Amino acid sequence: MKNIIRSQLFQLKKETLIWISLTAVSVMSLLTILTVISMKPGQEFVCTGSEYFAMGIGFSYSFPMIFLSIMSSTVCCSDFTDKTTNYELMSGHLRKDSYFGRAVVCIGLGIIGSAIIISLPVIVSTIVFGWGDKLKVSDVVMRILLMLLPYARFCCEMICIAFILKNQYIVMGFGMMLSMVSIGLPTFLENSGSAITSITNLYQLSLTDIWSTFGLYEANWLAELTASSELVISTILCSAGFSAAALYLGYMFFNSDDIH
Amino acid sequence: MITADIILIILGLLFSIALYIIAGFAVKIITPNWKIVYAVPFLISIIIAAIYGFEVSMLGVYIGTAVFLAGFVKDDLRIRRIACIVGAVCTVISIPVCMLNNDYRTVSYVDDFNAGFKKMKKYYILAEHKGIDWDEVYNNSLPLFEKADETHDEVDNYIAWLYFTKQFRDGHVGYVPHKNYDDIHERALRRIAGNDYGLSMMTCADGRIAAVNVEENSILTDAGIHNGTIITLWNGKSPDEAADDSELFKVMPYSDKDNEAFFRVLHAAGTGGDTVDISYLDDNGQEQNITLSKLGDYYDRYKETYDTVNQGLEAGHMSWTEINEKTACLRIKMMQYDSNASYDQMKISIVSALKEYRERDFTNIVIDLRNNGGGSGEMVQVISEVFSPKGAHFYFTDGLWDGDNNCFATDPETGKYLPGHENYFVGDDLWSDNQVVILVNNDSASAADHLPYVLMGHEKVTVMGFTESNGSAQGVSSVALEVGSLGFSSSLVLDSNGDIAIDAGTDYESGNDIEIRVPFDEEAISALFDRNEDHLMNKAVEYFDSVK
Repeated sequence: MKNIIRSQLFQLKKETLIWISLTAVSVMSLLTILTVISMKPGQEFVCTGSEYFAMGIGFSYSFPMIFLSIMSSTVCCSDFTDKTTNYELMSGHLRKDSYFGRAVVCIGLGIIGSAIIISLPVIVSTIVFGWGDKLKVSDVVMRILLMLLPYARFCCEMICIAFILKNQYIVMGFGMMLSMVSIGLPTFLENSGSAITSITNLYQLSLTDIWSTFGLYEANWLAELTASSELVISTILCSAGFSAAALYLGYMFFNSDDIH
Repeated sequence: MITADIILIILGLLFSIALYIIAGFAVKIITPNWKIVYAVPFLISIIIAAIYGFEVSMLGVYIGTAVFLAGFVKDDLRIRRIACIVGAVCTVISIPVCMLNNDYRTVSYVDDFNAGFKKMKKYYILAEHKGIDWDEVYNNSLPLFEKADETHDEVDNYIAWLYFTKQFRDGHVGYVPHKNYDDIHERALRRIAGNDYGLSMMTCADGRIAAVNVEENSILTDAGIHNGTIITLWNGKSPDEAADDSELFKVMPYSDKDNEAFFRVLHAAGTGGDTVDISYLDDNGQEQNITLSKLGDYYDRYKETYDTVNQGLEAGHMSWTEINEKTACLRIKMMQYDSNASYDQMKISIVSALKEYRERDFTNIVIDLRNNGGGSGEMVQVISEVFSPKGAHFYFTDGLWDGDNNCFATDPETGKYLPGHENYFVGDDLWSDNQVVILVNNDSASAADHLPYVLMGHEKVTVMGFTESNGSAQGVSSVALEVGSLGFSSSLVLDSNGDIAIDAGTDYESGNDIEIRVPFDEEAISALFDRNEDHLMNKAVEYFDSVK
């Protein structure tokens, strides 16, 4: 498995699609800073780090899912196209090594990429405008770490789908569709965001409790990132459970799959 | 049970049969794609649960569809068929569980209340001003929500919220269900309004209680009871005492004690059993007694009476109506203007109308703010500019915001809120030398409390009504709960002394008075209920004639 992991990492260094997609999605994420600035009352061109997370994370939380779709489809499916996987198995590698080697690379790089994409706007806002006073740094860091679990879950689900469909572009499209669904549907569904039944529960994790007051002259608002124990536990358990289930199902399918 | 759950159960059973058969085919036609088929029921189950919500009673179905995944994992005929049988059994078990479980797809009203209460306790700015005992409020309210949880009745839940919000005596504290508000509101009030005995009652200016909105051609009219008949006893008590028996009265959130006193006995007319004994003074001044039977629920008559007393001019928002050759009325139904136009546009429109009326020798303007629920302070400011004398005028002061602690700043010694930015406007005096009457009622609230307060001190402006305006002037925010939204005063509006503007404190007296309290007397009753006239408008015209 180590050799497969090394070879995948080597391959990914040369894979421009991954780097372009990571860059593009990161830029998309950065641009949401402007969205937050436009939403703020008054004409100030300011968006502190804490303000961004309070108001802007709801726009950018699904962007890492685009990157994860591309990553998992490229890593898992491209080697079916050029028969690399066939040659791997013929040369004596176990199906388990082939599957989990790719899965480890996907999940590892996926989490790192997701962390970069959602942290980048927060970091850039902080560097340019300061942290602000809307949220505590520790709360934001904990929330970002918690959000990485659903991203890992999504990555595992995409890996499972990739090994079933084996077509890079169909899997990519399917993943992007799911990422769009995860933005659009929660605003319409009453029960959206449940850790068990949603694609991920990122919508729930992206919600900040914002309270506004307003006077005749100015408005004020404050934000709270309250993570109830129920939210934390359900996120951890469901992410771990669904990740394990998705990887297992994907492996069981691949294990008996005739890949010609 | 909801349709989606029924469909999922049916699909679960159909899939168990289909997949049982397919297991046999899969042995003959070997392809790994059969695996995918065994994953389909679970995917459908997840999708339906995502849309309609996860329901514990349906756990059997969810587990049953998950069991089919064994067919995805293993290509074994026996395992697949056992999975189908187990899946079918689990699905069937869900049916009685869902049907017998009283908590099937219910929301916890107590949880919703707790979430709203916690938020309000944190952000409600008038708690100290009104002397709110949070523990008392909570302990008084919780049993009602627990009852609503037992009955799973959305109307019981709404009534519980009405009892809760009443305790604040703040017109800005209110609860609105997310769905079917009008229907739930009416059903709730209808449930607690009591019985209709063919009449309502109102307190006259001289303190006596008069019958109003009397059912025509009924036992009442046969007995000589008509609009204006004095009622002395209701169900063995004074009508004032009988009001304490009214559940409807217990939920109506009057913000000012004078306004409450004005409408008190209106609620009393719904109290009683299948019959009620009343005593009244006939046209000869003799006390008579009569027993009245209930005709139905009191809600319709109550609403009709309230709406008649509280009527505003029937005209469009921000429209002008010529009352006579000297008087025009500007009807302002809400403190909001066209969202696409600035308030400058509104001011131009008003100024243009005033110019035209001046050219036509109109001398009197009525600003009808009755039933105006409020809105924008900016609109108040712009209207005030038009009708205020030249020079700077104080509007209100914002509270000072403490950015470090994310709250309004208070004096550490006195606990009083500290004043922030003072708001002023400059009067244009565009209706100089002419008279303005502002009509208000109990439902003129929020920004519609501001306008009479700001303009009342001017010589040519007179505020008039049966009652004062509502008396709720602070800024409002709301918190979205699972079943509805709870709104309450959250943003400070202070007067020139730095005190809470307008909203009543523990003395239950709002700071918004009226200059002419039109007496609710025989003349008013006859105008409103016999001749369907707008009595307050008539009085405004009379006033104009008197100051000529």
